[in-house]
This record gives sequence, C-alpha cells and structure tokens, in this order.
Amino acid sequence: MSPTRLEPLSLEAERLFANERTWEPQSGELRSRALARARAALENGSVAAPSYAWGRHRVQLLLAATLVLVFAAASFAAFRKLRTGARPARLGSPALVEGSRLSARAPAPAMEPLGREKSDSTETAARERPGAPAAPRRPSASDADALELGLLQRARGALAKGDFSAALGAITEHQRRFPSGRLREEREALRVKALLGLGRTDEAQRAGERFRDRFPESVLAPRIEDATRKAP
Amino acid sequence: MSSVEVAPTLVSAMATDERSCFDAFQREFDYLCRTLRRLGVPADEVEDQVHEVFLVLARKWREYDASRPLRPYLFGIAFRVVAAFRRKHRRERPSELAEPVDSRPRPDEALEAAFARGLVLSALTQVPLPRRAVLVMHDIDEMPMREITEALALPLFTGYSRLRKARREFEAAVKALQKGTKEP
Repeated sequence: MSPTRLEPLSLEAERLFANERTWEPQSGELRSRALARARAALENGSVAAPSYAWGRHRVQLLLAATLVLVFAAASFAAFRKLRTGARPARLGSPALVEGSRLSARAPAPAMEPLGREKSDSTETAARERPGAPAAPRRPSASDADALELGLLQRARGALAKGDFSAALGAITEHQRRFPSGRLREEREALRVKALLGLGRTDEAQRAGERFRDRFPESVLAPRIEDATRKAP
Repeated sequence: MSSVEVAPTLVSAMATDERSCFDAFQREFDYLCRTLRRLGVPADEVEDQVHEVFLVLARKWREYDASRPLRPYLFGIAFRVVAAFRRKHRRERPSELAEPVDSRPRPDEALEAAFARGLVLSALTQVPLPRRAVLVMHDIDEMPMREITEALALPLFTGYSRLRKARREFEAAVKALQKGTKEP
C-alpha cells in the first residue's frame, strides 16, 4: 500500500467530525477579555519578553538542581544515621518508651474517605502484606471519564423520557461519586432541568442561581436563565 | 464595532505589523480557542493559553509568509504552546461536555450536537498529542497533508502514518466511551 494512501473514515467518525466543525463561537466575555489582554501586551511591549524564555527556564533549572542536591544530602545523612543507630530496642528502653509517648500524643488518623480514596488505602495495605491477593485495578482516567459521562447520559435519557425522578437520581449519584467531577457544570445544568420537570420550582430557581454563581461564563448559563424564567 | 473590538485610536497607535497581527488574532480567535480545546486544554485554561499563542504570534509575526494560509501556521503555534502547557500540567484533564439545557424535557438537535462534541473531545484526549494534532488538522480542519507536515515540521510520510494510527485510536476511544455510556 502506498504510504500516502488513506482508508476512508468510518461513517461514525465522519459524522462526529462533521458535527465538530460546527462548534459555536466563544462567549463574548472571553473574547473581550482575551482581546483586551492582547492589546495591553502590545501596548506595554510584553510580547518582546516571552513568558517561558530561556532565562526563566535557567533559573528554574538551577533551583530544581539545588533542591535535588539538598534532598540527596539530607537523605544520605538520614540513611547514615539509621544505619548507625538502628539497633533493636529492648522492652522498656528509653527509645521505645519515648516512641510510645509520641504515638500516644500523635493525633488520631483522619477517618478514611469513602469511595476511591478508601480503595486506595486497601490497595496500600494489600501491597504491604506479603502474600496478600492483588488489589483490584484502580480505575483509569478514561474509565472515570466513561463513568461520569455514563451517569450524565443516564440523566439525560431519563429527562428525555420525562422520568425526572430517575434523572435526579442519576444526578445525585454523579454528585456523590464525582463531587468535583469534570462534568460538574453539565450536572448542575441537568439538575435545574430535572427539578423544573418535577415541579420543584423554588429548588430549581435556587439551583439556577448557584449555577450562575459558580459558572458565570458557562455557555449553558443563558439556557438556564431562560428555563428558570419560564418556570411557573 | 462591538464593545469587544478595539477602539480605533488604539488601533491606529499600533505599528502596522502589530495591527495586522492583532487583526489576524481577532479574526481567528474562535478557531484558536476551538483548536486549544481539541488539543486538550481545559475550558478554564483556554483564556491563558490563547494569550500565550498571541504572545508567540506577535513575536514571530514578521517571519510569517503572508502568501501561505494562516490557519496551519496558527495551529503550529497552538500545538507548541499546548505541548509546553502539558509539560507543566502532566495530568491532562478531559474535555467538558457542553450540553445546552432546554426548558422542554425532550432533547433537541442542539443538545445531541453538544453531546457529540463532548464525545469527540473526550475521545481526542485518548490520542497522544503529536498524533492528535495531525488528526485534528486533517480530519476536522480539513487541511492538506503537505500544509500539516510543514506547520508541524514533520516528514510527509510521518504525517500519514500518524494520521492512520490516530484514526484507529480515535475510533477505539469513541467505541469505548459509547460502550461505557450505555444506559443500564
């Protein structure tokens, strides 16, 4: 096959790319700010000084090298101290007693968070126990993306069917699993819609206000505004 | 002229080169923002990164050959800015899913289109940046391969091989995302 010959795109990819070419323009505010910054950069001559110039890189490299050296020296000193001072302490020896006093004074460990953080600690414990069964695979970033997307798709599907309770359930589930998820903006927009569908107008209004506070530049903000304004 | 445009007095105060550079940036602003998003810049970082693109563009504007198409040139700058950005932020965040909300309970075409765009951005994040750049330029921006390889400083055959691989990766990512989003 010729190295410059290409197979045709799949119909699905063709459809997605065709849709992608129709992306909406950026918000006026973003455009306004960016153009103002560009204009200011021209006016004050800051375009002549690149923000990632070699000079700045050199300083950063020197700092990093210094830190590495300091860390290496400290680690070496600690290692030597451990090697020379690591003798088994007898029961009741001052070192052990001091150690238990320290543990007694040490603050209690914080409660383990739910969800992924909890499985992290389980994984750590499993790693530390020789012969323990392998810990379950930690979900990758793409798994998490798919899960987030899936929950919101579920909410969207339920909204389409008019099943607003199910939609709100999926939204709540998303909030529980991904409180700071990457699709939180979309989640909050769907929440307004679900609450409106359930006739919980006051809550929808409040959710709409929170949305506007948290995502003032969202492309969804005008739709939220419109939807809550039309609510009875 | 809308409020977002530059006041005439300020424009006239700029040197001719600066003015033409600023005009090009203003004209292609939406394209640049879209490109940055497709290359994996999170929505809340676009403003800073598009400014970085402008700074590089302004410094290099005199080197730009005006007889050549502008977009591949801009894409090349955006690509390098994003590569630098990624070196700073090792963990890439996937794209947002911009879903317009409608007061009616039924999804409309705009909503479907927004979800499809979200899917494209998510799938693109699964394609490594050097191949993603070729894919976006060729299959979304519909640029000829010669211009792409010129803008990215690649041999022609490398451009084609990257595109073939990127297409496979993109299609696999779309399938995986769609599989993961099936309703239970």
